[in-house]
Amino acid sequence: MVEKKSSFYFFANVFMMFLLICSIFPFALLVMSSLTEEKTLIQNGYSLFPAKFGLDSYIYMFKSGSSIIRAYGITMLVTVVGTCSGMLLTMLLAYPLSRKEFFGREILAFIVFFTMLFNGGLVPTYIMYTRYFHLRNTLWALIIPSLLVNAFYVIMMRTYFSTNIPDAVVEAARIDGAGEWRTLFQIVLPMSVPMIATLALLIGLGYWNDWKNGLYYLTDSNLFSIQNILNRMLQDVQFLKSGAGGSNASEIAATLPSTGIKMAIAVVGALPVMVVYPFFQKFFIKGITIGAVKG
Amino acid sequence: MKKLLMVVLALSLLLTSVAGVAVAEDLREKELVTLDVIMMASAGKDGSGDVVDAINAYLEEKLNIHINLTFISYGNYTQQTNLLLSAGEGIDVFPVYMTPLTTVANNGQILPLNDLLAEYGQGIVEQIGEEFLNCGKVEDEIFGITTGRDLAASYGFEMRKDICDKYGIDYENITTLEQLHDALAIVHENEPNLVCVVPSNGELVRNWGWDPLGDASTPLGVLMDMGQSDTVVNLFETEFYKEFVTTMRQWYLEGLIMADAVSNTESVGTMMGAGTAFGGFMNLKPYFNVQETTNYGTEIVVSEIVPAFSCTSNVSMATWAISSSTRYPEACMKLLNLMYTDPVLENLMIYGIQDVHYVVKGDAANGQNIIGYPEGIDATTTTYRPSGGWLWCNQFIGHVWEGNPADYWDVTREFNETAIKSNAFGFTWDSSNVRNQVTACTNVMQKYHQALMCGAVDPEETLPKFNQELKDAGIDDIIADKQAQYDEWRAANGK
Repeated sequence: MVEKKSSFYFFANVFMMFLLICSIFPFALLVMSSLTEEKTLIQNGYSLFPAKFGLDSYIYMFKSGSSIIRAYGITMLVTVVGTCSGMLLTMLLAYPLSRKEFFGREILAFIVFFTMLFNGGLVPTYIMYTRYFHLRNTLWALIIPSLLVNAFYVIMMRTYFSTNIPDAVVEAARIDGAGEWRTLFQIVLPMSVPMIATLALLIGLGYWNDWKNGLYYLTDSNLFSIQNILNRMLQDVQFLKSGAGGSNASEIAATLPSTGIKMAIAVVGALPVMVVYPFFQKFFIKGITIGAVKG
Repeated sequence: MKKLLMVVLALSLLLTSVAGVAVAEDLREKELVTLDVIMMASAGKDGSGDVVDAINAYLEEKLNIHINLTFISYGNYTQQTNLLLSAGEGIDVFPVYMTPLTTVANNGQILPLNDLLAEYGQGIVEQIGEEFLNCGKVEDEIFGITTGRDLAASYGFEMRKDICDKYGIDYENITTLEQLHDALAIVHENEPNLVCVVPSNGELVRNWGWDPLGDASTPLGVLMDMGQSDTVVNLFETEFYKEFVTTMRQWYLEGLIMADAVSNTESVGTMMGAGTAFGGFMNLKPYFNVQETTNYGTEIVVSEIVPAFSCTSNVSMATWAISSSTRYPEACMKLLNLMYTDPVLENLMIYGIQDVHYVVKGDAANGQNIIGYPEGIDATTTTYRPSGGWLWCNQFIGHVWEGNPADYWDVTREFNETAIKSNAFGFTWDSSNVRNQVTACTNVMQKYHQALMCGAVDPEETLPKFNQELKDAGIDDIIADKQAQYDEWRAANGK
């Protein structure tokens, strides 16, 4: 019996170890190639144990790239502002939807749900935001379109409220004289910390990793976030790969950042998420499973 | 700031003295008009604000026009210009590039230019010439004005001079594939670790002497022999193609062509610079070796194998156009006219402000100067000079960058004019009749064409399969349609 169990653990561990290596390996390669000397990188290709180390990529990035540091600042600003306001709006929409006595709740819920299935498509959306809201080349363009309130998160939150906050609690608060605002912020929210942490992480990740808004609504590269800069580099390489440029392709190629720099930016872009994630992880798992158990 | 002020002051002083003579007063707009000019560049540079101020000071004097200049990076260019055009805002004058001119014109996103050119664009006609201008036609109207750059292409091989010298390779006299093969064999034998032929970005050769009658990267239905025949044929069924890919297969098996040719993303230049490669096939132009040598830091020489020839796609691949959403079509054309004819404006746009972004180093043959970076500034630290002078309207009238010979632009002009012209030169094919077939055939082509050209697959086996799939995808409809349109065009133009 004991033997059987230990062999099971052995194989389970080996299997898990294998999965772990699978997910860490590419990232380790990324970090190492960003630390490899440029010439060695082209000559020998990527390697976990480069023949020659070099910090050139990082030095170049921080010396020449005021744009990279600015982009970093913009990403952080957008993530913080976006996550806070997105969270607030999601909550304020989800809470009434979870209250049975709310008038017109079904219709509102349907409207929210409807946006999950249908949307106007890229060009009409673009026209609306640029022509009528004048978001083009403003920071709002990175915050508002498509990321601010996500219908799926609203429904997730509503489900959490209606299954985890007993009606009796809300009723008790009412009887004790709490108004709607007080009920929400002092009674319901403290009981929903795991859900809030989970959604905050998801929304925050959404902002951190987003490059589409920048691609659509920004032409002023001073407003680019770090992901926009990365995406632009990848697109530029893709552009050359598509064979455009003809006899002038090499002139374009010479202006593109080298492989090492691309890797360095990718590392810098991924780092904060890795630092923050462990602190959220505890809530993250809880938040997702709670919904599942109580169904 | 002080510096900037002085530059602007100096400029406006200069301008007032010139403007009185050069500009007829009636060309100026009655009220100040602001136009959005879109341009492609590698990345936004911090100095572009100063440059735009200088441009605006100049333009206000000449035309009473201001511009907002927006740079969009290469990779995002297609998507962002398309969005701007769809929204009909924030775009007045821009180069059509990467999206076929016919598509943009048929979508009604740009204005027909015949009347505007006749009224305000005579300077453009003079600079570019009727013949090249006509390549920007869609049906009977000119929609795009080609930029002044190399409008023909020769094809050949670029390689490292140090290796050539080491093994006594006479690169100047290589004119056939066989001669090239012998040279490569010597290199391969002595330098087994060196990649002899690098396909640039997964593509071995773009063109080997045919007129693609449309987009250069999708040769579906071509005129062979540099467009000297009048029959549209299926390139992939010709003996010529079969012979070429068989030769490349042999090279590949001999180890001359890079083994992971199809998936390689490093450019040949980067690899030559790093010392891991010998050379690669290239689309050439005059003094191409000079450009490559500056860009990659190792001396590079070229052998021309397919002589220079010119077809419509060489000319129409990059053209300036006016957005149909503009409120000031006349002002746009006046601006374009100035951009094609005024060296002061063109130099500002391409190179930035003198003594800030560049300094004069000598005299060029066209009356302008040979210029270079000021001391302490190079390509990575400059605050202007986004690359891509060739996409600006007319670099022929402006400065010459150092490293190039003084007569660079004259030689390029001559290259354009003396290149062999395809019979279909000036003919633009409209693909709208067979759009589905084109999509289907392009997909098939992507599957086989590059791999065959790189020699990565066996043509004996693959070529018949390739041709069968193309037939199923409807390549015959495309060829018939091209032939019909071409015949019609010939009849209409008396050719």
